[in-house]
Amino acid sequence: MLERLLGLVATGGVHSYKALAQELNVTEALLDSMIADLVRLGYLRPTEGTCEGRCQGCPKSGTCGIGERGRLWVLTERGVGWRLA
Amino acid sequence: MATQHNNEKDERTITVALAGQPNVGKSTVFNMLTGLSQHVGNWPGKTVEQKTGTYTYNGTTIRLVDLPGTYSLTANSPEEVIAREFIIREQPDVVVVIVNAAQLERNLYLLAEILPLGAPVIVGLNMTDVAEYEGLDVEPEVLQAALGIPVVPMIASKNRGLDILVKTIDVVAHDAAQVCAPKMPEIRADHYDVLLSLEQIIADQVPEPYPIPWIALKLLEGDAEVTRTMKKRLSPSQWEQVHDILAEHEDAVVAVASGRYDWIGRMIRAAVLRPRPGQIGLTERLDRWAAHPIWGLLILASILGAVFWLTYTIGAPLQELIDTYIVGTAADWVTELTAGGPDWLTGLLVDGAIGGVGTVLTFTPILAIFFAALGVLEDVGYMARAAYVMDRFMHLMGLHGKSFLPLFLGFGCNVPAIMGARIIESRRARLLTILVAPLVPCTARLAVLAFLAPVFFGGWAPWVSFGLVIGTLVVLALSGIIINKFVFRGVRAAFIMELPLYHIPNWRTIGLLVWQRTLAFLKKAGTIILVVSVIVWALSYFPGGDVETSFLAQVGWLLAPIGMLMGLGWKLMVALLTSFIAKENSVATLGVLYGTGEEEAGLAQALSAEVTPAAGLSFLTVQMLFIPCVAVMAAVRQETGSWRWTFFSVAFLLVISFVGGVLVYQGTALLGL
Repeated sequence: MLERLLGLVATGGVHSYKALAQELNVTEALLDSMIADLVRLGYLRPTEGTCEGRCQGCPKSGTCGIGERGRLWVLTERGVGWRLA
Repeated sequence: MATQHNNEKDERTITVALAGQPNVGKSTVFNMLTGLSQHVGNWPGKTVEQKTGTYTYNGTTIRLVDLPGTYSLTANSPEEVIAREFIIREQPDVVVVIVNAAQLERNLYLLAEILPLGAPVIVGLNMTDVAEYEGLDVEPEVLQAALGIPVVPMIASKNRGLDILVKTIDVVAHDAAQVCAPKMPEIRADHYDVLLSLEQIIADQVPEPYPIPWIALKLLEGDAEVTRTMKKRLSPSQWEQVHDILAEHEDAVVAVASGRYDWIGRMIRAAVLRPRPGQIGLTERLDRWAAHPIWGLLILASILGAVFWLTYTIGAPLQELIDTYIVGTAADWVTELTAGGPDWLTGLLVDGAIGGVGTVLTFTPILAIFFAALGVLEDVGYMARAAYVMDRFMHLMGLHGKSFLPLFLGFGCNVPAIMGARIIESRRARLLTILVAPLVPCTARLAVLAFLAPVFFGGWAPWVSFGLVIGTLVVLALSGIIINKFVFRGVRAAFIMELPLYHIPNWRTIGLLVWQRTLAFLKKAGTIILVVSVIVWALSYFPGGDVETSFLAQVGWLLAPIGMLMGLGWKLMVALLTSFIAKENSVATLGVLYGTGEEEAGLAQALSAEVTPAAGLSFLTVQMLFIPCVAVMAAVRQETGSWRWTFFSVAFLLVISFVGGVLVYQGTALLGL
């Protein structure tokens, strides 16, 4: 199951949380657990989806990031290099 | 075994371990069962709190040990090590795993780790009231059949089900084999032989009472504690064999965890009924369209079109009012004030400062509309969908994920898109993201487009603007594909995105945002744009007071051969150059060079008289693809840490904009525009 998730994500692009849950035929809660595990194992990294506070010199400083952007995870180098055995 | 038989016939003591993840109500169960007969201390040699207590049932004394709450049984924390060591070494008669019925997916992971330890297990299915409240229908009998072990539904906080739990503990403690036949999770099939090989190597060195399969599994998972122990116990040749297997299967931890998740998935599908139809939320209903690969793009295109329509419907009249009553009035007033002074002073103030900055100020309403539109779309949660559907389109074209961040962060301004690329670990994928980010339309470019399109195209302006934005995104995709294929050779970037819930916009927040960004723009107009306007005026006035023979014209004529291919005269070329400082400068420069003083016609009229629609379209195309501004280039330099890549980015954008301009001009000229 976990390797299927990793395999789907490792193809590249942005994957919707809901679409992944449907593709894997799991609940979103279970997907959440699996993503948390992949984060723990170093295949995914959670990110705020913003510049993470590096505002100096940015024209949008102080005025960006309104509204919710939802959770975002990025595939790490380890995840990119993963292959199904 | 932990059971003790006292000499007296009917007295017996059994040990029951209480396990569970944090916040499942384990402590409540412990307190309810043990009451005041609790003892609190520390686990031997640890600073972790240990709670034990007793109760009696049916002539038996039950010693209840509250294990630390843990999410799993790895060696990542002392609590996890304590929990698993107790179950393995102390061999309790029963282990009760408390799970939260409303979070079964997460809680069953711990159960998946406890079952292979060999102790008889009961599942205490707690918080069934919470599960019901959340619309989850968990069937305990089905779960019991699927797991092969007793499942006791409870609401511990209301003392419901605890009597059945106590009875079940008694039954299991007396005859576990009758009621416990657990269906264990298994490692992924392609790693089964690997596991067997490990078991064979380590079999005679695994210390009692640790189960051999469990030790082998933990070695595959890279468990630090188990690895350390077995490395000491195995002979050098045995350890070398183990090490070779582990090195060859570095990602085996995924196979192990995968097996557990497959098992959990089967349990959930069997025993948990999802929320009833009709309870699907608004977000999900809207996303069936907004996040659809085709409809989502059409909706996005429509929203973009609507924003441009709003700009021309509301922004353009306001723009005219500002031009007539503020800029025009200011020009008249200053002309009158400087009537007796030198010509150059009037020229500097009226043609230079007011001509440049004043022209730019007239598109404050347009910018404010763009800021408001973007603000609303961000606040309601739509922008995440926009980036998602655009990236799916880019994915089809072969640009796998590299455009996502710029589209997610860069609409409005490219600088955060470039800075945000830092979250991508792969340097090559990060570089590619940084290279394509400047092609995402920002509000400044959209404002210049919105200002100039009506000048050249009248009523067709919304369609032309729309087409240019779409065209720019297509160029973004194509250039990303080419760079990916020939320079970076297929790097991948991937993301998982949880689309946020839609919600009603907070108008106060949006109002503040528009106010702050508009103020920032006005500040820019009063500083950078004013300085550039004055410089441009001075270079276009001196030496002789005639723009056509000025210093600037001499520079402009040097660029004329390049401009000719794109249909751009020297004034348009100079305007393009000044846009490097700030995009709005191109309009300010045009205002100075085409003259907007009292006796001169307005900029719009001057432009439409001197510039053909083909040249106008070419200019706008080049504007959309040209180097965004110096702030963006500074961000590229900062994030790449390389002048080489910064110059590459500049050269790349120059080439694209030049080619785009040539193709558009030559193509439209052929059509007779």
